[in-house]
Amino acid sequence: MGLLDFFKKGVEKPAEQKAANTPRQQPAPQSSAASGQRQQREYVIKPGDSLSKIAKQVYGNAAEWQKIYQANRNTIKDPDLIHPGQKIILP
Amino acid sequence: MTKNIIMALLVAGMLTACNDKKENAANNSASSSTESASAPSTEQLIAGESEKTWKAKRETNSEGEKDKLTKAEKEQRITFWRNGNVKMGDDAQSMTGKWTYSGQTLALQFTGENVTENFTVVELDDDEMKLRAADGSEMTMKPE
Repeated sequence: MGLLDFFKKGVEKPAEQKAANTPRQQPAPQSSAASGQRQQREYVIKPGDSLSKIAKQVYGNAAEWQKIYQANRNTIKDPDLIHPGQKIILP
Repeated sequence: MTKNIIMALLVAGMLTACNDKKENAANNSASSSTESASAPSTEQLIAGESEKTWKAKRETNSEGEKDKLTKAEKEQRITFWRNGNVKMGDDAQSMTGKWTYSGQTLALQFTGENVTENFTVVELDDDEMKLRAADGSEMTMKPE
């Protein structure tokens, strides 16, 4: 499991803060690109993952990482910074 | 006569030594009470004087069974700063946020999240911190 996974498993409580913009469990993106022919899947980021690694694993082409990034723009601010335990949509 | 003088000097010497011991004992007890008065706070145990980095030592799953840490997982670190900042990650990635401690609960809020992740602090001393997650799994960490 490791620290990165463990620290995503706490009892979740709403943060006492200004309304944050990012919902934690977001519905599938509404973009037309994402609603294409291929069926969307949810993927949970594992330690050591990167978008290109996932793209290579899923589509067989690391260059398709941008497709994943575009489909998850509302949760991934920086394509170089994804977190283990984070759920993303694979278009 | 000389004998009496020598005896008197010996007795005087012994009395002086006794007084020194009493003073030392008093000083020691004073210093130990000072130490206990300044015992580290929980926040200090977690984050040290300014920051403290922890790494995984062992973990158990929700059934209480020991989970083996992989090599990559052993590389992961979490650093707590006394100013409330926290950073967690390994060589490849990291995430930052804020931490607080209250009532045996360690709360972490990672940047971009609008929820806090809350963990029960099961054990905590200078050399070990054991946390329990929502599903009952436990992580024991040691300082780096």
